[in-house]
Amino acid sequence: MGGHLATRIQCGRTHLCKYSSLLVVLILFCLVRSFQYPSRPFNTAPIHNMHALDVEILEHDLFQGLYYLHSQPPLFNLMLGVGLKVLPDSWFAEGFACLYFILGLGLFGLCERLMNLFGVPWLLRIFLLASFLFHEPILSAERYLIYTHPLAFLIVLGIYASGKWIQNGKPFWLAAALISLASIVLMRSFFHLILWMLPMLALLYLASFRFRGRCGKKEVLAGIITVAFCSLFYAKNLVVAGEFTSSTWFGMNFAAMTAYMDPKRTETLLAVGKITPLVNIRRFFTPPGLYRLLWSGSPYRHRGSGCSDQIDRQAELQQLHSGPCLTGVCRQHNNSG
Amino acid sequence: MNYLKAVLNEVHIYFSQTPGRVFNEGSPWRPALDLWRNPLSWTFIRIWIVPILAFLMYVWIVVLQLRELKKFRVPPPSDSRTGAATLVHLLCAFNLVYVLLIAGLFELGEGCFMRIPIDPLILIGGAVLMTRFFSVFLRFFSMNYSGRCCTVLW
Repeated sequence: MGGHLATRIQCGRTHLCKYSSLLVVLILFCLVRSFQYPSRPFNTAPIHNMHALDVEILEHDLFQGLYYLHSQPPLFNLMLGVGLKVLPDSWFAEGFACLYFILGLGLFGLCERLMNLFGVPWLLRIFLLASFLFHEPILSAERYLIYTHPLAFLIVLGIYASGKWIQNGKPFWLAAALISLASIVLMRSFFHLILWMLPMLALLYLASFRFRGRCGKKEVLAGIITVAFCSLFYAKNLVVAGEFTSSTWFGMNFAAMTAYMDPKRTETLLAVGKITPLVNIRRFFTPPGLYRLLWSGSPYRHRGSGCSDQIDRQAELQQLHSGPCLTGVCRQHNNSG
Repeated sequence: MNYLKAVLNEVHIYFSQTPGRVFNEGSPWRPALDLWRNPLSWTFIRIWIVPILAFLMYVWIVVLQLRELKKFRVPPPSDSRTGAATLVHLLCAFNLVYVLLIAGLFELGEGCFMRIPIDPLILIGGAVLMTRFFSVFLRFFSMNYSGRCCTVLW
């Protein structure tokens, strides 16, 4: 009995030593974040941005909205919609703040485990991850209700789970890897089903074949089912919007990149009347904002837009009223998206 | 030509961590020439030094990870941990290349935001890079003096 207890204590000590750096990282994460969070309250304002559907639709007509409105991928909208339905209004911010904190904890823990897999010394692991706690973009992403932070967590989880599956061959890790990859594809159209997910799966199965010496039928079938499931959403967009993507946002990006024009040249062309003043409407300038501008004529500054240049909306309004053409749209020179 | 400038600008944003237009708009990068008057000009560092260093480190990490591809050709190792590490290296490398390419070619001036989700992978790649560097250094050190410091660190 005594010997058994001693063995168990020894075993516990070994585990503690094995996971001590992970424990240190997680404790550091909690400590540092408890100092950082008060100066950075969780910001739920991005729910009103273009990254998500309208709040009313999310709350009252979620599934129709997900089906017919295709400018964003479905998963983040679904997450927000479920949050709006399940959580009381007063708990909404706290609920998501809590979720994002847990994701952050998971992200740092998984990073530590991956570094351990690569044989990075424990001292270096702790030092680098402690420094990473002060990495501004990750901290900001953790305090904004936007898909960046869940995405970072899912990418690291997907890669870690893939590695674990190769290491021990347990179906749980394969399932975790496949679910993570599918979630990434359905959360952001940047990670495309064909361009991103298929090469990732190919690498995964190739590595399984090479290092485990086999790749079972059931395992391949699980991958095929995952791809087929994600394809359903892509096919829906193909039917509804004519594009095989998880969102139809891409057009604006490409237009904004290719149709960029030097402001001085815009002014010249505007002066000679070759282009319409509508060219001055910047991208992310929402229709309600434009209507308000045209209706009231009050100075209107667009907040949180993402365009770096500051534009005087009053001057823009005057230009709109005094310009030579308000009705025609010159597509070639329009950089408004 | 405009598109090429936009791509250059996007890659610059990707590595400089600041959204904005630099190379496809004439004025902002000209103050960098103040280098001759003010060698430690922040504009110069922000526009030239930080992105170039970040780019070099990024490429180094990707090359280091892609070198794991050769393990696919040799007979499978008995240690499953090596296989897992190889796969993880390759998945990280694929993600780093993919995000850089897509953000560089098709984004609209916010490449640094596209990079945030893979920042942990860059950190992990950097950690491996540092480990390799230190292991070479420590091997040299232990050959000349003693192996005690290696034991402490590892």
